[in-house]
Amino acid sequence: MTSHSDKLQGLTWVLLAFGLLLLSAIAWPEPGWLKSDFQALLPAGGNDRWVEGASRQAASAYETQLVVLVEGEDVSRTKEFFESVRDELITQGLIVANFNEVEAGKWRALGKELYPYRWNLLTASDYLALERDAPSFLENFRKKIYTPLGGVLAETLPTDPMGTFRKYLQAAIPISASSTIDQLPETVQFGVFTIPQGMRSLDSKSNMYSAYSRLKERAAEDGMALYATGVPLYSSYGAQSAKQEISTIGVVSLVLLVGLQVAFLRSIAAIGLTLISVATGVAGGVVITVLVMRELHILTLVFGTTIIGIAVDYSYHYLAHSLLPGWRREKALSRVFTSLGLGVLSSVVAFFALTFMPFPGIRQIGLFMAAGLLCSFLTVCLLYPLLYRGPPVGAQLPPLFRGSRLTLRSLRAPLLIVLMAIPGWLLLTPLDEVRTFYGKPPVLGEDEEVIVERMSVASDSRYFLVRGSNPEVVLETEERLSRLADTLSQDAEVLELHGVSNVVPSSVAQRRNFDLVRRVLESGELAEHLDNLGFKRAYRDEVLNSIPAVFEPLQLTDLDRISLPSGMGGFIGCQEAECASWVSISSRGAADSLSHLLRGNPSVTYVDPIGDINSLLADYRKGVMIAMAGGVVSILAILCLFYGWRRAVPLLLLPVAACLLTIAAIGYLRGSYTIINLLALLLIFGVSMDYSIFRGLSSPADQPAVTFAISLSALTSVVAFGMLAFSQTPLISTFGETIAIGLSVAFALSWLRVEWRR
Amino acid sequence: MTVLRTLLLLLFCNMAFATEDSPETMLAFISRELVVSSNLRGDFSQRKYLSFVDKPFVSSGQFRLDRESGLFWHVIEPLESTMLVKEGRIFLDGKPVEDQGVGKLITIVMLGFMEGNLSGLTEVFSVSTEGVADGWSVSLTPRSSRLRAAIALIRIQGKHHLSSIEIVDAEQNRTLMQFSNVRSGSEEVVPRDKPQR
Repeated sequence: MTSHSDKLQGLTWVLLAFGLLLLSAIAWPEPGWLKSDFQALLPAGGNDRWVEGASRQAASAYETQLVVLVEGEDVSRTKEFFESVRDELITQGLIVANFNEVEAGKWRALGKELYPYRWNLLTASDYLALERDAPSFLENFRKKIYTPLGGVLAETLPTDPMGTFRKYLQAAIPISASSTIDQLPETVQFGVFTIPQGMRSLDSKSNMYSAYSRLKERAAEDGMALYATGVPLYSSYGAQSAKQEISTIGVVSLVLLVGLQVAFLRSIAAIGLTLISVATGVAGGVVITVLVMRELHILTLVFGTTIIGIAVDYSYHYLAHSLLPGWRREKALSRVFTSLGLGVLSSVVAFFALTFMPFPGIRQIGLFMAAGLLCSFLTVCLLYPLLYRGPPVGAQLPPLFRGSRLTLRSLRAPLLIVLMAIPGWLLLTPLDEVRTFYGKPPVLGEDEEVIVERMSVASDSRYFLVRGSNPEVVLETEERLSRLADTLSQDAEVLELHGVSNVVPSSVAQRRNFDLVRRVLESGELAEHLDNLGFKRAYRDEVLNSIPAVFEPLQLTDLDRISLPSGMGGFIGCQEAECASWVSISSRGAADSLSHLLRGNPSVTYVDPIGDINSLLADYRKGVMIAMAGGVVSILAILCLFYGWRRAVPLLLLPVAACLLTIAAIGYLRGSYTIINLLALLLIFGVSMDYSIFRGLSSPADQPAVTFAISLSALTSVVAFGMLAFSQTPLISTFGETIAIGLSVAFALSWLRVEWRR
Repeated sequence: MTVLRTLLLLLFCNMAFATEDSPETMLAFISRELVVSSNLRGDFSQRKYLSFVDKPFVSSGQFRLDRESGLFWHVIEPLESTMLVKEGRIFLDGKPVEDQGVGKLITIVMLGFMEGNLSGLTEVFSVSTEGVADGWSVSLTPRSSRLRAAIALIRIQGKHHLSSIEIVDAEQNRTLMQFSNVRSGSEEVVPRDKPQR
């Protein structure tokens, strides 16, 4: 018999689901909300807006580049194969253009913008040479014109009569692989390509790695070797493996879940409701996370599939009680509501705490799990009383679960376990290295090594952040820094800095250059130079008159219309009476020199994004430990509020013991722990708290049902998380491994009897 | 005998050029015809025709190509200078040239024809060849728009040695380099089956 309140609850569930769907129809973000780049998981540049801006600018170029190198024995076959690779990638829409062509276009645009101000722009060496002895400088330039090198120099004489502007532009080009490319043997073909702007869909990205694998195989068949590297390729690999992991984990979890239901409950309604509860959890997690965060990372979805293992706990707990003698449908919810409510409250509190973490990915996981578990809980509470009429006649708890739990009669066993755990705890050392989180398959790692070795270049994410009260101060500081770097560069050690001042010098420097050019003009040395070259009078006068009489500086705003070439730093902007720029670093064996540059330059900050993220990780790791301690105290306070400390403290024993033993196991297995292990402990604490609450708040008569529910839950969760341990991404595998260990421990501990008196 | 050999060569060249062979095949043929020497020397004159000067830029001097020392380019008139191209690096009057640009490419092309190594040309240029009365002529058009912005065409003529290089820039200004009195210490013809460098 269905009661009026059951129908009302069912209607509430339908209205809530409809409301959520309506909200998502109205407020769903634009396409591109599903992310797969690892960068999106990392915290932005701390609290410093300038570091954030600089990191964004620095990352924008290399995130779209794909580097391909083909090596063979026969020159023409290697070239032919390289061209076929390029054509295939273009046909598939995976690359748009040769990176070098795009960069050349940027340099042309930059040249056009700088051209009107060319008299203000001299390289430091040209300035010195021209100032020291202008006639010699001009004669040397004429000598060059008469060599085969002089063709283009001669043609641009009317616009660049001293060849200084051309040199200025060339000096602005950062150390690049181009010089290395010239020296590559012809049996090595190399290209840098850019991916299309719009290539954001997961499918397109996955295709990149598939295409790479196919082409690599084909190269090997043809007796050649293909190597590739670049963020898009890693991202593609991540997207592909994440998709595989989601489907594998999802399918295995669901098969296990249905199999257990069929084996023990033998009720179609129970299977259907469990699936609805799990589906609601996953769908609710996705919808609420996307609506709140406006994006969802593919790795969050991978973690999200594990919600199946936890969300199903509520369902099991409700359904397991129906196998007890004397179960009545009208009283079904009230019998388990307290333990379910307290269980979901502790889990949601634990996961919601993650949303306060500064890691976008962790925030997403926290919200996803908290929202998903809440949705599953609401489904159980609102829908089950209406739709679940009980198990088939004769269904009962399997004998295995009817037995009583082990009772600890002395402290010897726990003490022994603690003694065994101590070395594990002592072995633990923190590891805060972000590069150990994301995986690259060995094949991509080898490719990167080969390319770096052949090209003699390595990517460098470090830079200097320069601040000043206005753009002019920033540019002057950059120039001072560059001069210092030049003096520190030795034969074997090269330290080259590239900032926006390489193309837009400070007004002071521009004025100095302009005054020198005017001096050469007014002394008649420039006119004599043109006469020596045989300039026609009209052209000569035109050149001389093209040098303005009044100084007009090139401003940073003059370059607003164009995008600067890659690898040369940039101006970030001005805000609240402070301006900033970033200066890229190209160094070879000059690591010690970097610290010298900072001395006496308080407005310059050395930024090592990877190092900074690692130190942030260390801070967050400590933060999570404090948050965990805070969480334990909060949950203890909630429990004390409801049940008093005598009952509250024993309830906490199971989760605390599960966490401590898991830490010891990590110590034995890995010897080090990361923030990921701690985040996993948060989840272990939440789930084992459920076990403890279900145990502690259920009457002795209900204990067999609790044992049954916990067993099914633990089996599902340990299998689901255990599978994550085999993920290709270390971050996920660490998470899965820790949780699988922790929940196994929690399950084992749940079999121990906790004394409790009414 | 020499006349007969030349006629036969010319006939063979014209037959080869008349076929629809790939540029690589035609360049391979030319590189086999070039006499490669471990020590090549000669005179050059360079004329550059520009609209803004009264008379063309004219320079002249001597060159020497040595496998050990590289290409030594000695401008005698109108301003004396020495350019050395060695292992991909260029030095002018002993100082490394930072501003290489298109000039370096021209130098490398010239060096390729002197050394008989033409294998990389088709990657950078569209190549067309034709037989002329006294040898061969190769026209190179840059493939990339970046290079086309500076050079419209490079025309190279020669027989057993390079005889001239004409560069037409994007503004249609012409530079003509002519080689004369080219001789080698120990001339050696590269055997046809010898692998190219």
